[in-house]
Amino acid sequence: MKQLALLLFVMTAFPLLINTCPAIADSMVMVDVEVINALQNSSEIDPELSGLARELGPVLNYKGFKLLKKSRLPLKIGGRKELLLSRERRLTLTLEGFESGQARINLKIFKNHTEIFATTLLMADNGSAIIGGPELKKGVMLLRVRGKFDG
Amino acid sequence: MTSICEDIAYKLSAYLDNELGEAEKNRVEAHLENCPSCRGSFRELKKSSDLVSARLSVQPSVDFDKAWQHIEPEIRRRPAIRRYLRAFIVKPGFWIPASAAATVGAAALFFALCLPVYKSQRPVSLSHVESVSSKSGSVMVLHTAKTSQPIIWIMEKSPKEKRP
Amino acid sequence: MAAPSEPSDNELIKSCLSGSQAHARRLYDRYKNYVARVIRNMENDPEAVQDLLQQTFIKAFSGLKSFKGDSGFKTWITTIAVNTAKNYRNKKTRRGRHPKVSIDHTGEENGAALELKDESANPQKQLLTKEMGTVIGAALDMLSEEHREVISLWNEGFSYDEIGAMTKTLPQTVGSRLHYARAQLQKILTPYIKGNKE
Repeated sequence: MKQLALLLFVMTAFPLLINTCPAIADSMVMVDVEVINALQNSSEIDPELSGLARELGPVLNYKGFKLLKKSRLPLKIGGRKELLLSRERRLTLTLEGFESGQARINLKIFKNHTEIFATTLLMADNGSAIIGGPELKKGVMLLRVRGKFDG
Repeated sequence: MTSICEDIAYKLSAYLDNELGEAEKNRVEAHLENCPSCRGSFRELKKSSDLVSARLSVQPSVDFDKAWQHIEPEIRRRPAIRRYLRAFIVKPGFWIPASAAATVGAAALFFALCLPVYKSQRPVSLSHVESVSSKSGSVMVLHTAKTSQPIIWIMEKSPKEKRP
Repeated sequence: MAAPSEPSDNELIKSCLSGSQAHARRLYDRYKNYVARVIRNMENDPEAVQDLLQQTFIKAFSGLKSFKGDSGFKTWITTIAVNTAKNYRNKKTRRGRHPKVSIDHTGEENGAALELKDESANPQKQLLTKEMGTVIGAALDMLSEEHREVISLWNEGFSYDEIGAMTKTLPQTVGSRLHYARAQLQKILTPYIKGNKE
């Protein structure tokens, strides 16, 4: 029994010890932000959003997905980038650092200079998150934020 | 009873409900003023109507918690509300303590990122929401079923609700 | 920071659709008393009310995706509640189990006579004695399904237009049904009301 426990420990700990996660050494994250208009009354889906539509279909009550804007923002540790989302809303992103192979990214949404929303994401390499809800045109705004680590 | 009275009698119910147009309403009122018989009919109608209304407004005794125990499992099984979704609501201005999620997340990340054998089997796309706050509404965090991609849903207050 | 305001029905529905059981419960708590009343006013059998309430909410939550939001959640769930109760009554009638309550058995010997002296001084509910409640309940049970439907919805404050939209009839038909329903109820109830003469 003891040998089995030891074997299990070695099996799990050894790769951790020798395989330094690549992200830890990274100092920069390339953040892709897609601004999407999700619609209930339309079933038109932009081809590049078909995967997203499939994944969100069972979760959210929206059938139409239209890509409004796509931006790539290189973020350095401590660096802050800003993106205009709509006439009155803007997004700021700050890379606060790396932690256990994840990038800690702080996102804030401002509406007419007032902060309305803030979140801190622990993002894995090539990981993504979706922020949605604010009303936009005849639907809602969805933001897909994806981070790629860049050495 | 005159034919006018018959006509008015038919309109008393709508008059009681304030569903008559202005001209008809004036006509009924003028007639009621001059006709004791119709006035009496209207009073009776109102009394019985008030009694019926009082009876209809009595709250029936229902064990609502017990009823919910039957409803909840049913709606979990139905497609509109997905069983596999985890959702929790954050009140404006509060931060989610993510310790439990972080523990699970750290374990998942360990296998996803650091163990080559696991890394090759699943996409490296795990991200976690450490904290979230909203000063203008409620925020909900949920995850997609397939890749467990976090979805942060901001429920903004409508301008109407913002009014004091 | 100011306390957050109650989420609207539409916000709750949106998060129900996203899987929030907590918000489903909140929506249930918001409408349970109202739905129970609508059902009871359609179906007098107390045992059936709870079952029909469950059926109504299960149908409503399961069909949330089809809720368009044009008419408001209250109108929508009312329609479901009314149809659920109507189906139940139809089945019961087909099975021949419709209870025919005789007004004669709940007459004045049970102390059903009610004095209405000064309406303005008495809130509606105080006017209603237990016995009178039984009489009215029985009188309501004798109404046709259409008449019972309109009188129940009218009591919940819906206008003729709104009732018409819910029952797929013209507002004029709603008015006409209410007139005849009231006339029938009045006929039954007048002997039980004392002091109603000028």
